[in-house]
Amino acid sequence: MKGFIVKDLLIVKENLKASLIILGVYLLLFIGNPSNLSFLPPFMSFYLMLSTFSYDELNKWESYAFSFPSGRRNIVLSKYISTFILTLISYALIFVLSIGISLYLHNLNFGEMFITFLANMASIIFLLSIIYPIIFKFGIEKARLAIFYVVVGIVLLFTLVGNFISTNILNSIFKVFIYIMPFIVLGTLILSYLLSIKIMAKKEL
Amino acid sequence: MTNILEIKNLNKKYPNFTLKDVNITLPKGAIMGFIGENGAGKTTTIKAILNIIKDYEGSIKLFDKDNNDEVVKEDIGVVLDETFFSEILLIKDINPIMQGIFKNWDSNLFFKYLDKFNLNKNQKIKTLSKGMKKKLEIITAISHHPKLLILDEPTSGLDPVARNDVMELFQSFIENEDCAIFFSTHITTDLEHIADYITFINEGKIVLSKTKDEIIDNYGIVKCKSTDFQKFFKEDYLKYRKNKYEYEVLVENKKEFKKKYHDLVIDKITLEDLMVLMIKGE
Repeated sequence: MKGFIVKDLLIVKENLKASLIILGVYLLLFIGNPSNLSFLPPFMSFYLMLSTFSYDELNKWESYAFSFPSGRRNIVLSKYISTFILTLISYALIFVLSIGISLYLHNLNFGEMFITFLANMASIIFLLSIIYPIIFKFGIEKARLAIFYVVVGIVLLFTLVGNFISTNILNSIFKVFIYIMPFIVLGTLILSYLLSIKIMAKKEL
Repeated sequence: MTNILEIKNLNKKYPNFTLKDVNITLPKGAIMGFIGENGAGKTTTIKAILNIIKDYEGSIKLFDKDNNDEVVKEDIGVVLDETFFSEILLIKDINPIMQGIFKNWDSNLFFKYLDKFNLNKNQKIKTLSKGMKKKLEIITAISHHPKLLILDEPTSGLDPVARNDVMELFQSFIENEDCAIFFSTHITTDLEHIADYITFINEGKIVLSKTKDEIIDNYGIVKCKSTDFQKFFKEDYLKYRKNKYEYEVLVENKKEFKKKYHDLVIDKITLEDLMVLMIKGE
């Protein structure tokens, strides 16, 4: 399984080299306001991980990987672990960078920043948990549209909830939500993994 | 264990294609060429062996174990058609990846082969020519000391020099007599040099599976006029084809045929003639 993770991270490395300029420009544009930087890690883990699926599909990696020992299981397991590693690294990097900038600008609110990052990370993990089984089932090219609908659906849901419920209630819901959120995310993640394993075990190429 | 691969009564149904009662046995130390037209079922059979497709009937054994047993895959090296690592990766990246996949991955052997075949380890895979990439795929497949090499069309699209290099790689691999190679191809001349067994699949059915020597020694082609052909009994020949000026007749037993029709010349068969007559003949 280690080899599968190494493969994903090497693809990310090569891909990151290609997106370094965009990243640089983004950093320069938003460096004045660290809260904007929190968009960067989801971009990194979301975009870079999904691109590993694209590269895999382009070279029909799955067929090849199925011929390796425990290939079907390892394809799934490694994607979840690679995502975890990448998400953790990217969030940690940007978190440290944000703290640095905030200290320099003398406007550090550590607690708030930490919660923002955590909530941000949880939503990305939640989103990927929904998306991964879809990709494993249909392949990244066909799943693109589904991913779009999932993202739009979630945004729409939150907007609707925001419109119909008063801010006060929302705030009190949010206070409870923040405690149950980790369990929802973790539950979704576990379900997602089990479903992906099941999909892959039956997949025919 | 004397047989490396044993396929018994393999059946697989698709809406437009059926693999029907496929039986194949490959002993160790042998190279089997798996021939047939495009779409005859070669890739489907290979996919079934490797468990890339699962929903089939019949049994497939590798090294006396069921092919569902993931352990057997440690001992198989695979080259599939148009399926490999992402091309954005460097050649040398294959080493740490495969090290984390196969217990017996041999880094030294991998880099030794890269040198031998003039592959620059710092090059991206996408910059390789088709022939170079195929060589890389084969090198990758043999660098964990597998006992069985399964290759789907490893020589298609390669120039004669590259094909020769590939054949040399096969020869050096098979020097270890505990190993075997199973490879599909429609370039039958490759097989005439190196194959020990020929298995021929047509429209999802195995029509022939014999040693190459048996085929070359026994099968033959008779080119004759219509008047001669009219004299043949149906059981004397396998297939025939009517050309513009003559009949081409495929016979299964040259000696028997010669006894009956001693004034006719029986030509030596090539695998290409055999394939064409078996498919096109009546």
